[in-house]
Order: sequence, then C-alpha cells, then structure tokens
Amino acid sequence: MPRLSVLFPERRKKRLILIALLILLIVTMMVTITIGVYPISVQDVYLTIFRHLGFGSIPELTYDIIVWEIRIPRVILAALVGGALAISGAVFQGVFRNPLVEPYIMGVSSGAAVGAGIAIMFGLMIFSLQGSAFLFGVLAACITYMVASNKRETPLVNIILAGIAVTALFDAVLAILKTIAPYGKLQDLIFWLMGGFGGTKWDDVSAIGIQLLVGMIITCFLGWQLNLLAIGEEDARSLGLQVGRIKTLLLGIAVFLTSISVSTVGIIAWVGLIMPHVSRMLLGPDHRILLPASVLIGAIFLVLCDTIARTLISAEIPISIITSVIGGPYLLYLIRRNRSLYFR
Amino acid sequence: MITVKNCISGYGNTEILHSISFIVQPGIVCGLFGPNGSGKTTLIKCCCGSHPYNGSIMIDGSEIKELSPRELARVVAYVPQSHNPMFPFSVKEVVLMGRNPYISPISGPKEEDLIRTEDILKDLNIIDIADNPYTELSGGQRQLVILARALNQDTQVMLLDEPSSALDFKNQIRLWKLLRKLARNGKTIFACTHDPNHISWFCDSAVIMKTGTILTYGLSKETITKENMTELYGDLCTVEEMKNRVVVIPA
Repeated sequence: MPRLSVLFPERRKKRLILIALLILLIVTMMVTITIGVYPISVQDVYLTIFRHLGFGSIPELTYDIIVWEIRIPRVILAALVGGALAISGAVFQGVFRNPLVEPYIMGVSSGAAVGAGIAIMFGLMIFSLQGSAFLFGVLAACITYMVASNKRETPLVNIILAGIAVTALFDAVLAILKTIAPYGKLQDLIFWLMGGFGGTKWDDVSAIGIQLLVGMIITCFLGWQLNLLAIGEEDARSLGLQVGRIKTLLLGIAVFLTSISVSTVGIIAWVGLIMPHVSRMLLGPDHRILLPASVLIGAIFLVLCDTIARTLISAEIPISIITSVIGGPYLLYLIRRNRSLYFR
Repeated sequence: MITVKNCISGYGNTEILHSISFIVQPGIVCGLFGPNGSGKTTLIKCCCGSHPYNGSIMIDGSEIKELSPRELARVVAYVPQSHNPMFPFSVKEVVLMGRNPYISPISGPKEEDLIRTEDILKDLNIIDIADNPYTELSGGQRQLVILARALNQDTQVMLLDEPSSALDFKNQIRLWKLLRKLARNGKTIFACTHDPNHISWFCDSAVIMKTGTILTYGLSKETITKENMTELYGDLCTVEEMKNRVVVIPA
C-alpha cells in the first residue's frame, strides 16, 4: 500500500466547515425569505415556493408577488453580491499582502460608481452600465496602484493614502455629474445612487448572477497561486509562478466582481474588508479554503444585513449604514489589536 | 554547475555588473563575497532569473533567461533573505509551496508532494514546528523553513542571499554545516556573504567581487589572501593562519 501523508489532517475538517457554511447560507436564505414588513406566515411562504416548483395549490396573488417577485430575488442578489465583494476583498488583501485593503479602500468602488453614473447620464449605448462601471473601476485601480507602488512594492501606507486620494477624486466627479445632470437624468442618477437591494427583480438576478457566479468560481480555483503571491512576489517568481499574469488575472476578476456589484446595488462598504478577516480567523490563511469561505461568509453577512435594512423600521434603511455600523467598530478593533504590525 | 559569461546588468541607466565571468563547479559550497555595493545581490538575482541581464548565465546547461518561470524553478532554487510575512501561513504550508513547479495550478498539491514535504521537514528537524505559524518563528527557524522550501523544489543548484546574516552564532554554524552536508549529497550551493571568515571556514570555493567586477575566483584558500583583502579593505584587516585555517582579523 502506498504511504499516505499525515501532514494535513485538518484539511478534511476545513472542508466540512465549508460544507457547514454552505448549509448555513441556505438556511439563512430560507429563514430570511419568511421575514418581511408585510406579515405572511411561514407556511404560506413555502406554499408559494412549492407552487413555483410545480406542485401544491395556487397561492394568494399578494403572497405570490411578495414572496416570489420581491423577497426571493432580493435575497439571492444579496447573497451573490455579498460573496462577490468578500472574495474581491480577499484577493486584494492576498495580492498586496496587506490586510487593510479591499476594492473600496483602493477607490475601485468609487471609480465604478462614476462609470455607472456616466452611463446613466449620457445613456451611452456602447458602454452598458456594467461595462462602463468596470472600465472606470479598472481605471481607479490602476491609478491607485501606480501612485502607490515604489520599486515593484506597494507599502501598506502608500496604498491606503493613494486609495483615499483616488476615492476623493472619483467622489468629486460623481458630485459634478449630479450638479450638471438635467432633471430627468438626475432622478435616475439619484435613484441609482441610493443603491441597496430594494426593487430587485428576477431580471437583475439573471443579468448579473451568472457573471458574479462565474467570476467567483474561477477565483476559487486560483487559491493555490494566490497563496504563493501572498508570501511575496519575489518568492512566488522563484517558485515558478508567472507573477504578472496571475496577478493581473486575479485583480482583473476582483475589479470586475466589484464593479458589476456596484453598478447594480451601489457602493456597499466594509464587506470586502471584514469578511476575509473573519474567514481567516476561522479557517487560516490558505486561500484554497479562504476564498470559498469568504464567499459563503460574505453572502450570509449581506443577506442578514439586508434583512435588517428592510425590516427594522417600516421605511428601508440604506444597507451601507448597516454594514458600516458593524464594520467601523470592527476595523477599529483590528487596527488596535494589530497596531504593532501595521505601523512599524 | 553555474557558468556565467560576460554578464552585464544594472538598474535603469546604472550599470552594476560590468561583464562578469566565472564558473561554479557542481557539488560544492561556493561563497560569493564582497563589500556592500559590490553587486552580490544583483548577481544572485540575475542567476535566479528575477533580474534581467545581458550575456550568458548557464545553470546545468540551460541558458536561464530562455526558461519559463516554471522550468527555471526546477533548475535553480532561491533562498531569499528572511522577511516578515503578513499572513500566518503554517510552516508546513510554506514548505509545501516549494513543490509549486511540479504542481498543477488548478488541482493543487498531490499526495506525493505532501509526502516529500513531510520528509524534508523531518530531515531538517523542523517537523515539530510544522503546525506553527511562520510569522511567529525566530530568525533561525524562519531561515530553516525557507531553506526547506527551496529543498522541496528538488533542484541541483541552490542560490542563497546572505543566508546567515540574520542568525546568531550558533545558528550560523549550524546553517553552514547543513549547506556543506547538502553539497556532499550532490547539490551545488552558491551563497553570498559579507563575512570573509565564513568563506574560509565553510566554503569550498569563492567568487570575490569588487565594485561590479570579479576580483578573483577559485578555491577558498587561494582567494582569501592578504593581497585580496588589502585590495578590498586597504589596511583595515590582516590574514593569518590558525590550526590550518585562514582567519581574517582586524589589523
């Protein structure tokens, strides 16, 4: 019998945790579908779902619309966007070896928002909303990266400072767009800027769901290479990695996922920063596990945040407020705990 | 075996290496020695393919700039100066990364790679710390882990950048003895150092650099001489023989 290694007994356990997280996500979605401002009994919610799966009796029309047309697409979109933002954050942190970066901090979200804003304002047919958001997201990432890098390295403080500047720049452009927008377009723009998952339709889910899902799956397969990058570029190169190619691919997908999310639901801060940290604490730094874990934990987190946003008071609370209320204090805690590591 | 012929390199418009040529024989520990700024690190980086050069650097018969990163990583392993990593990868995870040139990028390491990693951890006596986070190791342990990772690449030639500079006296001696053992088992070790005594005590041969050129190369005894030390350091130090070993001491 061939010899088996006893070196990684915990990988099995970690895979089980991933499966547990997947089940937790499904349960979270199933439960949050039953919660809403309009009271519908759990039984009626599931009768409606069963009906759409092809069996059971025809439900009441109001229930049908609220459960099938409003709640379910919204919960699914929240899960997809949460996963996409979280995995993008994990990729940025790994590639830059910097636990304090994510697409939002590097200005990618603001860039994507400007791109989406321009598409709405000028109705450019060639650039769809998402295409334009992606283009400007890439632009923002490139500016931050080029400003921050020094001798092939991107020191932690440089990235954060460059990110602040780039974010300010694109936020200003967005403000200018609002000022010069003609009345009809202004309404569209403001409505879009409010963001959030309110008014999500099945069309939204089918339009971006596949793109987000494919992006996330490809990224999960790049976990081993991301491990090498996370050790250091010089090390990764000497271990035989095509550093430039892999780095561009990973960052490209992360910017894509962020831009697509921003163009659909607006800027949602903190998910990309915090979810990878939570996953790392739970399962360690191995990106082969960390990337899928970030997706699942990010999805669970955003579904819960969105449920609070839509049910806490009768009006809808912007979801970024919810994520910031949780994310701000957590970042403070993180910096406090690791201050000797971050600011040496 | 490393064969360098008319190698020229630098940064931007500044030429650091001025047409360098030398040979490192297989199966020995060869030291690369010279004062700060003489171009040691640049030369090591050229040899491991992470810095562009003109001229020729052949390792085991292959011109290294013509190899893909993956092919190169099967020919030569590079041990960088130890650094502070950001993420707490465990020791075994770091050592496993040395198998990368043989691992399919999509499916990841196979059983065989895990077994090799386990054996190397045992060989270097670091199996006890296999589960510890790499970020929390002492300098000596960290250097051993990076060395284990390079061994896991299973190359004939290993390049080391100041392998003992971050280590205390005990660990320095241990490391050099380990490198000698590896050379006896057939590896070619090319390590830069700025301590001339490390050359005469631990290395079979040496390449001595001065401001981007080769001052001399050959057997350690023939290179660490009064003339060469005077050439490098003026009258700062003197060379004496003690118990059949050459020692460089302050004048």
